[in-house]
Amino acid sequence: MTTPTRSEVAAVQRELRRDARLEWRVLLKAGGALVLVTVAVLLRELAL
Amino acid sequence: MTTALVTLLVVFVLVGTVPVWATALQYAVLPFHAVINHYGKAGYACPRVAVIVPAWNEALVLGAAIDRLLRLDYPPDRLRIYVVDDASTDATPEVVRALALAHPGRVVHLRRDRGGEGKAHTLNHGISIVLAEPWAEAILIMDADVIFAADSLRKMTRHFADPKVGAVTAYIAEGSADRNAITRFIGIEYVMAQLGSRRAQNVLGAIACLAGGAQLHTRANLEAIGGRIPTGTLAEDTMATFESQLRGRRMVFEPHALVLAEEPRTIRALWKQRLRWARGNVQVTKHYRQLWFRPSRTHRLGGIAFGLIWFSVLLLPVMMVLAAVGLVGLMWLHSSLAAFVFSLMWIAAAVVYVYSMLVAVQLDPRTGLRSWREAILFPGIGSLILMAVAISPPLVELVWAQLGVVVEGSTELALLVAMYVWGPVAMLGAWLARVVEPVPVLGWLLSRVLLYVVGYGSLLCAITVDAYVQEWRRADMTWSKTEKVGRVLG
Repeated sequence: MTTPTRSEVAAVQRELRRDARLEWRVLLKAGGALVLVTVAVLLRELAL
Repeated sequence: MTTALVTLLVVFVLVGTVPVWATALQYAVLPFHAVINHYGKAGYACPRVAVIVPAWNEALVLGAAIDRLLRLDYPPDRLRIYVVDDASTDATPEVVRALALAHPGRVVHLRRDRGGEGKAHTLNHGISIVLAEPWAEAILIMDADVIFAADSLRKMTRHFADPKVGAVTAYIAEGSADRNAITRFIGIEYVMAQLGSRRAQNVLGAIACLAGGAQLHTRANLEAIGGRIPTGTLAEDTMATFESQLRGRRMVFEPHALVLAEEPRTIRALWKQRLRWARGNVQVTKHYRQLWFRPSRTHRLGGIAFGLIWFSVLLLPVMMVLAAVGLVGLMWLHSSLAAFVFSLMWIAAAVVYVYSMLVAVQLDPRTGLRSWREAILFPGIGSLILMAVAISPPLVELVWAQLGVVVEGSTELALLVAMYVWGPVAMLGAWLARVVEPVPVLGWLLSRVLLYVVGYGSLLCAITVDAYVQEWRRADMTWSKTEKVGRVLG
């Protein structure tokens, strides 16, 4: 492997932080979906 | 005696719900990828990468794929492309020779005089040449038709900053420019199976398969598994993934590295491709029979969660048949219990389907938007009706009343049986869709209607049944590649 320059390392770290942040968004999206499904199930229970 | 039989039949139905719980498990684990991922250990890594492109009559697609490789956001002096021409009889040699001339030292043409032995053999020809020299530090195995996004390789290599990582795979998305129902279904399937399930597998620490279209190995990993891709099964990529993990190396799925692939456009072509994959999975299951459900300190392939995920796919048809047998049996012995477990089964299926699909379409919103019909109809119209029946029985009665249909006596019995055996019936419907597809005029329309009615999952299930039969008959393992004509968006 090559010895990277400081800016190359920084660029990779920035990109990694950005992708890691996107994974938090996945968690939020899944959370949103879970809330929607839970509400639907509760509404169904109330309706029956 | 009756109690024992009823208990057994209830167990049958519960076994039929295993795939639902396996999906629920994966989509419950998936959000934890926010905290359990490899980004903390990844960093700058820019190894010298030898790309191995197996090519057997790929003249139509090869040029675009190599062109995109040459334009990757990766240092040109650290990337070499080895095209292994598997005794092609079309213009592949000319295409590769022209590229090798235009990019001396960056594109290398390797020609096999005897071809048609399969992808693994073709790859091994290239790998042996690459590993004979010390230049390559990593080896990227790909398909001749796939298009790598500019930043994809860079995003994959950064995981090699952690020496425990042996290989990395990318998100292979359906990328045809002119999509049809089949490719849209595949698009949704890939979102669910890769962006969803493989993220979950990252969390669980065991990867089922590094996609053969984008498999980046470290040199050390490839040498550790014998310096070659295993050739004993039709699922060479899955075997390479298993062999790597059995040696204690970590596999990573990188969801932000995008690779576009051209996928089959007809049920018949899809059947051919997936039959190969499904037979490969049956062979892998048999080959590693000592591995399943036996936790180990070196790898997580023997974990209960991973076993559940693996067998819920492999044994899905068996589970569907068991559920149908259980429900029909209960109908005769204990009809109210049959109705109860039926509702339980389909309500669980509905909840898990809605949750997983809502998550999946958000993971790749572009695919979700252009394939929204296939996302909704993924389980099939038949299964959606059963979900509605289970969720709201009064709604169904209302529909019958509105239609002026009186459902009682033998009609009611027939309807009940039809609902209880829907799983196996849907598989038959999928098989029928394949049979009628080539029939002139109406065949195409009928096959598409059938597909939307029985659902994409039933089609894959029917293919798995075919794989069981082919394996049982020890059918010929001749490699039959999927025809690609260069429809991927550039």
